[in-house]
Amino acid sequence: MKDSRIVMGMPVTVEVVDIQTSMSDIDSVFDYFKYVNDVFSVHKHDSEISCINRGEITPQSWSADMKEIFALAEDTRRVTGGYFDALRPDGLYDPSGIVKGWAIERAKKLLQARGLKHFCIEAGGDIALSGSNSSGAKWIVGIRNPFKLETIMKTIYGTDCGVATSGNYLRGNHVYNPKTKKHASEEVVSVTVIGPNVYEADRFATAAYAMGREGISFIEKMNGFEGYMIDNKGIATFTSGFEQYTYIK
Amino acid sequence: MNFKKIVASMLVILGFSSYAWMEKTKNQNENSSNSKDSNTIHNATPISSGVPLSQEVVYGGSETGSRRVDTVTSSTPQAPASKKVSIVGSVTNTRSTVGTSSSYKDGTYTGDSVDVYYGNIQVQAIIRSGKIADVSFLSYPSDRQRSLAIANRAMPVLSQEAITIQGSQVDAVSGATATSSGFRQSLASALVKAK
Repeated sequence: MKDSRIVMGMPVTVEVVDIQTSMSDIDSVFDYFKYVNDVFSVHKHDSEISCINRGEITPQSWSADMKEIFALAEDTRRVTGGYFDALRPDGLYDPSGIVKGWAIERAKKLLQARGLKHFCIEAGGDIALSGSNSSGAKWIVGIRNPFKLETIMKTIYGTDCGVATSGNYLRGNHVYNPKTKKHASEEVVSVTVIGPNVYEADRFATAAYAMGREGISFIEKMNGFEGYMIDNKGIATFTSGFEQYTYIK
Repeated sequence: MNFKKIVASMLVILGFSSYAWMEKTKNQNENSSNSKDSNTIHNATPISSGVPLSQEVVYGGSETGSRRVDTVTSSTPQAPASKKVSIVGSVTNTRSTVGTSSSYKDGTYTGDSVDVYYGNIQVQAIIRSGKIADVSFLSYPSDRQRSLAIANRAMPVLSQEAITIQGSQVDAVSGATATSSGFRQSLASALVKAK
């Protein structure tokens, strides 16, 4: 069972392969994303994050999810050496760099709690994979070609992992380098990261992209992560263990 | 990026790989056809990544291309590189991938002059019958020994390849904040035109 809807301002696709899947399983994921958007969207005037940015609520009265996201944002800022920072140059908090991956990972656990094992959740190009696809094989994920968006330029095979891409070829140059307070290097067009789950993949893809050319070396050093970086010359640089994901077996 | 630019980039990589290959032949007096097995050199810890990694170069090219071009590395998972040769102190870890499906237009093409840290490399490629017939160097650095020493220390030890377009049989697409809803539709229509 599969459905695509626009949630959190982006297309979201949920495909569940388990035979007992019902429409309410699919709905639960989209409902969850709507909730996340209502709480964390900096574009919504009445979201909790907007209230925080206006100084209307004190940290003591933040929701449990908000506290968790702030703790995770601080952790990510630390492990990326400052290359991820939820505090924007304008002094406002925008944790969206980790919220999306975190929300997809939460949605994965939500489906697992419903007894489902084989599914794929994709939100705005970030993907959680669980079990196998409708053919009983590994899930097949294409990495978008940044120079010709309707095509893919790499195919990877995965199960029980997360895949996320950070880049500047859609929605403008939306990742900035917190260290230089400038937009991330335009030389690197996109960085795709495969990790143990989509939350981890997403936050490190965001940080690696912000690092520019050094980002792929950062991923190389991380145990359990592989990366595929594309520069503006159409050359891909990838980590030593990336190729294992390009084989179907 | 338009097609010409992509081809030009590929040719530069191709040409550069050929250059590295010639260096190997010169230095080791060894015919590449004997190097059937992957012969990976482990470097000392590189400065830039801090991680000791293997360094290898796989040459891309067309099956019927110049003898200087070793083999085709298809990026399809079913067809791994048939032959791998490693270079001591190669200046970049260049894994050139040339899609076997692409057919180039005949002619002579000059690649961009590429700064490779210690000098510039520029190649010229001749295409005959849609395939690479020859790659020659218009310029390459002369101070090779010094270059090797610098390159060994300065370059990150990661693999590289030129990107190529692959098939669309996928369950999901990973991209930067993407509009994947229209992806399949758009791709399907593009493939109809390509036939």
